[in-house]
Amino acid sequence: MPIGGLVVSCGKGWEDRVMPKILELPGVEVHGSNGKGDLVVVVEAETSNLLETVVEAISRVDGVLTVGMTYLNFEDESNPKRPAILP
Amino acid sequence: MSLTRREFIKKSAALTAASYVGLNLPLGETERARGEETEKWVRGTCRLCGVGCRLDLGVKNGKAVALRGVADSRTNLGYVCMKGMLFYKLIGHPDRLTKPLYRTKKDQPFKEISWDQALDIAAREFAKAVKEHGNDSVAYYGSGQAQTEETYLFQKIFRAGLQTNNVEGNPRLCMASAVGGYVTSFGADEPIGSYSNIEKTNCFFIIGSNMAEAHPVIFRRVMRRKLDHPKDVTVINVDPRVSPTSRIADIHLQFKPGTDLALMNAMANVIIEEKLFDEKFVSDYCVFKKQEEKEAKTVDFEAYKEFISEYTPEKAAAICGGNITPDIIRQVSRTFAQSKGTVSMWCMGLNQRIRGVWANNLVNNLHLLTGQICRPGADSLSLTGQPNACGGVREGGGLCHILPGHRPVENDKARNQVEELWGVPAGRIPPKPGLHTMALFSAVNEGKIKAIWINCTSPAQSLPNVDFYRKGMRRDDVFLVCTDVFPTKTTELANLVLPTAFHFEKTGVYGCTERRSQLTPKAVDPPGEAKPEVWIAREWTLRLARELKDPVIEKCIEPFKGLEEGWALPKAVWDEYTQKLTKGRDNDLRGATYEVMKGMADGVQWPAPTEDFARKGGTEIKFVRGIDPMADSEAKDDKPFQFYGPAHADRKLYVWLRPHAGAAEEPDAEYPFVLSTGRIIDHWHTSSMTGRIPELMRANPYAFIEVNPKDAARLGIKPGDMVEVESHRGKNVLPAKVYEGPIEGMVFVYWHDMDEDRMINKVCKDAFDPISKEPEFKISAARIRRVSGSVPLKPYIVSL
Ligand code: SF4
Repeated sequence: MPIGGLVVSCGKGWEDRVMPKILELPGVEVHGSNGKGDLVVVVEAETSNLLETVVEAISRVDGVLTVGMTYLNFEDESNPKRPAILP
Repeated sequence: MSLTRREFIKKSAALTAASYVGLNLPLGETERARGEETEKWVRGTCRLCGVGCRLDLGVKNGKAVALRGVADSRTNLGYVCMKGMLFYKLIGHPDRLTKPLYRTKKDQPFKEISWDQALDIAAREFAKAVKEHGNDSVAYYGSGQAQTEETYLFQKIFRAGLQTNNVEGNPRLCMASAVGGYVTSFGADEPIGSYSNIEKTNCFFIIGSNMAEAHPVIFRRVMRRKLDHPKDVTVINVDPRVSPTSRIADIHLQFKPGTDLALMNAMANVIIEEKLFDEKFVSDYCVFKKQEEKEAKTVDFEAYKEFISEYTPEKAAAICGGNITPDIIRQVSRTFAQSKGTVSMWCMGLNQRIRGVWANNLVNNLHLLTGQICRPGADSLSLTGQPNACGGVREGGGLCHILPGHRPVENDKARNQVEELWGVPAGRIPPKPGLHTMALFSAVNEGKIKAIWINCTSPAQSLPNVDFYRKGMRRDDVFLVCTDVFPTKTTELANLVLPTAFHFEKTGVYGCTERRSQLTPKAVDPPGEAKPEVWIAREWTLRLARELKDPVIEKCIEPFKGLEEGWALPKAVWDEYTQKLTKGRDNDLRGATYEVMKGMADGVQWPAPTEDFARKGGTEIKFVRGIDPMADSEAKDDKPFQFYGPAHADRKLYVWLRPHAGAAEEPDAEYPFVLSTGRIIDHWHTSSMTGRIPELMRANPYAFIEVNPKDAARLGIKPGDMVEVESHRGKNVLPAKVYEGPIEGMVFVYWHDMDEDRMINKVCKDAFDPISKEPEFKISAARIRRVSGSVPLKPYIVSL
């Protein structure tokens, strides 16, 4: 199961509005905020495909300006066997 | 993965993210260490754009298992974009090329052959071409994604071994105009400053760049600067299309494509008229230049003033159209000039133009007039598209007219110096520059090139007017070798396909936008029989020397014989290049040894003549005494700035008188639209890599055509409808995206899709800048029409 560490940036003062919305998404934990509009977020998903969907959903949350990836562990998926082209 | 281990990894992920934003989480380092146990971290550079983000690849049992950004890296401050995070999926991907493949004729199926056979065939075919058709019947076409060691070694073999300057690379298609601009304005290629100016500037002038998608981590820094200082920082975005970059802009100037030269001249006019220029800087360091028939003539300030006075804001506003008004031109000119520091950033919107060099000169002019360079927060920063266009191709001798260390081919002294450093006879390198990219592929079409080696790039998709040039590549009398990691549109036209090691499967250096060379060591083994290019080049050369019975060819690889390919071989190539070829040059990299770079979070900005200096990161701002060691060692007077660049013997900066010029092909009654092309965040270039990452392919499975709602309403086009876009050269049929992106009268298509119906380079034109020889991908005249309602489409990637 891939696990991603993210810094989600919203404008200063937007944290309280953004955080509950992010937490509604599956596999998302918010570990803290630096008071300048940066949230420390961890996402866990079944596959990196799903993880990317969640990251994408976070980036679309109203008030979110950018999502910066800082960490990704994918050891369960390190032998790629899936087809190249998705249906 | 066990539950406990997962918890540890999650804490690790949180700690890593927290450390980037200065947050202390109540989780201990020991927990992080346990989460990462059994892993080895190998530090390298991202492969997928010119930003040069540094990341650690986690390895367990010989496999890549994790990635994290490097927090101390000055290129990315720890951040990595989603594309960068997913690139590990290409290591060991099931579609990888793993065996040499060969066929005598291009309509035959490939057969697997051994490396011995493959190298013998390649040597025999190149030797045959040379013997029967002369040295200039062979060519190398490389890449801004090849490592510096690879570009350097190949160009050495072709120039000194095969005695041809037919050495080119795909940066001709993206960066050549920026090179031309820097060399003619500042006398030296590549930016003066660094990314660190982003955190110090008060004005961003972003023109012809959708950096939010093409350079996402740099955009993040720009956005952070704006958010942290909303009142003190102004973001000006200049683009005919509303892009994700525009959304953080205070001012978005939207204008008719191809009119921005008038806009920048008008800005210069306001700066002169309103006396916003830096008189002392201009009189101390600048001269004014006008291109006459054969040579550039120096003119005085009054002549420049008279020239520029023609470009009144009123006149420019009328030329530019869109939302440009005389007042807004005055406003942005004042902000640009009066800001404590202004950083301009641009990319293909200026470079891929019929007058790309002029466009670059005009941005540089604004910085010279206002003295907005050589100080913190001020720079004229061309963003590089590819991860090693600067380091490998621009610095390492990867274009037909330049030898390593920014030496012009036609300069006898420079050429003889290189011959001496390589230990080959004087006169071995021909004095005439080789064929630039578009001339090279025209020569392929004409059957004048008999053997071509294409490394790490896919011109059968990336050239403009591509169908025309694919005809030549299809010829059976053109022997085509491809070295690559995946099948591409170009391997489809090859005789010989050689599987190469991917990033982190070999060792080498990339030099990013900000003159910084960064090492990526081998972390895992390549799959199957894939080999590093430096090994392939060396082994081929040994055979080539035998075929042509020429000991000088063998001499080219003499220092590298027998060296182990994972580290010792690329290190020896790098050492020769840096210690010999960059010594005393403006890109002096002697301090940037593998040993030094291996211990760094990021890498070394040249000039860096000594290891001690390199260890601190090198030169943050060129030409400034006390910061740039060469500004001190090359100083000719007491002035604080010393412009010692190799192209301006007078050590002056040139403000150019460049008139407005439109596109090579303007819309007309038959082709009334401007077609422009660009990138999207999820894909990279020809998508031969990103198209194989399911997450990225799912996000953007195929190209679409962006149509302005007013145009769409007029032509009865609804979102999702299939639209044909056609030019004098060819056509595509793509689904429509109707939105207020492109200005009315303009359509936009991203260029990554390799499906024949959606490959937009079939439609783009191949006219090129007469100075830089870079084609004008950004503007083609086209017509569009609705073909049908929406139809189900399939993503397409070339397979064997
Ligand atoms: S911004 Fe570019 S270099 Fe950085 S992670 Fe993304 S693709 Fe890689």
